[in-house]
Amino acid sequence: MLSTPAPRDTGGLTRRDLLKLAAFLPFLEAGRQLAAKRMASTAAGPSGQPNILVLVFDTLSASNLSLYGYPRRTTPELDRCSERATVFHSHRSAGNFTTPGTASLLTGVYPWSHRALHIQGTVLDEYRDRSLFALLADRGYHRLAYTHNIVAASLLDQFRHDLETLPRVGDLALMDLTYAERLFPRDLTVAVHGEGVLTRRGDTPSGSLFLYHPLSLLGARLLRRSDDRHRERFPRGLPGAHDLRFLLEDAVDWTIEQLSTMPQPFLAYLHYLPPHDPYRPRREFVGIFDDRPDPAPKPSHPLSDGTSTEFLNTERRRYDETIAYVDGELGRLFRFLTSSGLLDTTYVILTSDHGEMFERGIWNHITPVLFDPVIRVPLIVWEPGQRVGRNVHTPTSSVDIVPTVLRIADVPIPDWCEGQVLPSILGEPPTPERGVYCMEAKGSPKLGALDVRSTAVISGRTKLVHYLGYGAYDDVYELYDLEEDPEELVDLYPARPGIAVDLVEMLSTQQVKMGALP
Amino acid sequence: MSPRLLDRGPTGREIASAFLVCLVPVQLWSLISFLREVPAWLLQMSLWDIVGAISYGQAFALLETAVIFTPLIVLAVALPSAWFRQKFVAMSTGIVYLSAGWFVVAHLNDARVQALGLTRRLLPYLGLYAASSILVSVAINRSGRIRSAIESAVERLTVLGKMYLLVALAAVGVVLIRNL
Repeated sequence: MLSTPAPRDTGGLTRRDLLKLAAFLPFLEAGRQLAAKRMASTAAGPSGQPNILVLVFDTLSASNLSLYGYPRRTTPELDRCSERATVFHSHRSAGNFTTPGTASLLTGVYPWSHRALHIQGTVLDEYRDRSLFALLADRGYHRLAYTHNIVAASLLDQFRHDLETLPRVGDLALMDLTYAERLFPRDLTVAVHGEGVLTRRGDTPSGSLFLYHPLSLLGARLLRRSDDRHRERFPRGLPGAHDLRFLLEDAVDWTIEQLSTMPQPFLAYLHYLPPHDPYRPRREFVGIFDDRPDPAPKPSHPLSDGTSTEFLNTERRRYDETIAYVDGELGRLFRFLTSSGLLDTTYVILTSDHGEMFERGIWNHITPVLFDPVIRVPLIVWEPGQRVGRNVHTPTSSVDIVPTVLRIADVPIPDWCEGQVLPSILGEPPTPERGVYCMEAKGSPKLGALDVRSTAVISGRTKLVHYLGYGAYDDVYELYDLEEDPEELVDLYPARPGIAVDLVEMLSTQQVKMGALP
Repeated sequence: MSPRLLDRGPTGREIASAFLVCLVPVQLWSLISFLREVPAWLLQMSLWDIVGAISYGQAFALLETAVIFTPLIVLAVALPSAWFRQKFVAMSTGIVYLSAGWFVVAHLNDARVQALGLTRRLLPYLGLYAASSILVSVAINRSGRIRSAIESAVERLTVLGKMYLLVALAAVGVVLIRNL
């Protein structure tokens, strides 16, 4: 005979109760979305001007995004979100590392004009009042900027007087063992230079004879403990740079909080460090591309640092995993933007300050070369209420962000601006014959003639690169047909220099700006 | 601090001359390290900014000297007078310069030191350092010749120390001005 089992004690909650509760979950979610929408609309300013949100992910190369045709599916969220956006397929940063790339993005001029050419470099004084933030000063925008990257912090610090909100880099850190920003906020850039020598960020020994080793060993231990505490979620350690550790998740949460409560209209510039190295994604992204083939190796370049192909392939896989991790968080941010209704009132611009190299014996972005992986970056623009996706293939540059934002805010574009309004945004027509430039000149003096430099000009399907002052590789041109040879494998210049005449002319017209400043 | 405890410590004059001598290697190391960066800084920074960056290093070196010097005063107070207090200048100078030598070696082998980390593998090196310090202390305690050699060197180095102190104080001034 079968007996009826006695009801199990579930602490007061039965399976039936749970099912009942689950039935209410969609209503809860709908309520949350309504509240968020209401928050966004009640926070809207009286001017009716659109909000502007600039999202910069450091070191995000277009070459490694599935959105741009990369075979590994690194950006499923971005692929989906950009179906209702304008995707720029031939967008280049004006520099190949953070300082010049970010400075051009924020001032609308090329590195030869703003002269932020070096790591921790700053723009010329005259550009302090020519930033994106300064140009929107009288338009009633609430201006907020944040960066995870201490190198970009020096630039934002120069524009501090035009920002209503500028948190410290360390404000979003889980662990911050840096001191210059905390102790000397009024002299940030120089203090960071000083701290860099004491904490041995360069190649030379630390400037602290006795305290460097005890403090650095103790600091390393603290950072390792912090990594260990999160090892379950981040098996390779926490994302970070120098003596900072942070979570992109926290930065996205903070962004959502800011966007929910900030007065409107707002201009928010948010610069997140991932996927910058060290590549440390969350556990679910670790190893996801291990079974995918690596791209075919490319021949070494004369300015290569001789990094092995094996190392490059390993790092590329880790970088791709980190992009997938970033993409996941980006998806979360976009779900908020959509559910809150902000996407209907806000121009969202997503881009990067520079790319990353994993080829030709070169790793990362501290390099004089200007191949596309290190300068071609994503640019995706969501216009308020945009429902149809668009693709733009004409070359564009990071110097175009400032004039585009000015057009959005109905502010006249100043004469000194070297960029143009992005094609298709607000119906702007493309300029097919236009040349966009990129420059690297770390070896040149800020105020002097830029005699050690790499300069690239991209116009239509061709790209010309000029290397000057690199020892044996001096005054050398390289020419690539990006349509027939997107991998930049065949240098056409030695055999057919005639094709490059127009591009050489384009570079020559900028030559005068590369001289010594008066 | 009670007057009796103060009596156990070195005199102000002894502290001053030992401090000045200890300041020399710390400031000198800092200056050399920062000057190495100047060619790169000249590319991107104004002279005033370069002076500022070096000043952060020099100001830190002054603080660093104070940090390493304080335990020596504590030792002089804590240990029997005949061991340390009566030979304070020679003892503190000897220990600081010996330590400077060890730390220079550590700086030149930084990658190895960082790889060791704060682990037990560091202990043999710490043991060697402690043994060499004890050896130098015993030698200074026992040998009048070593003591007088150090004291005569101290006399000469004090002049240099005064110069470095001036530089360090000027650096503190620069840091203050830049952050006003």
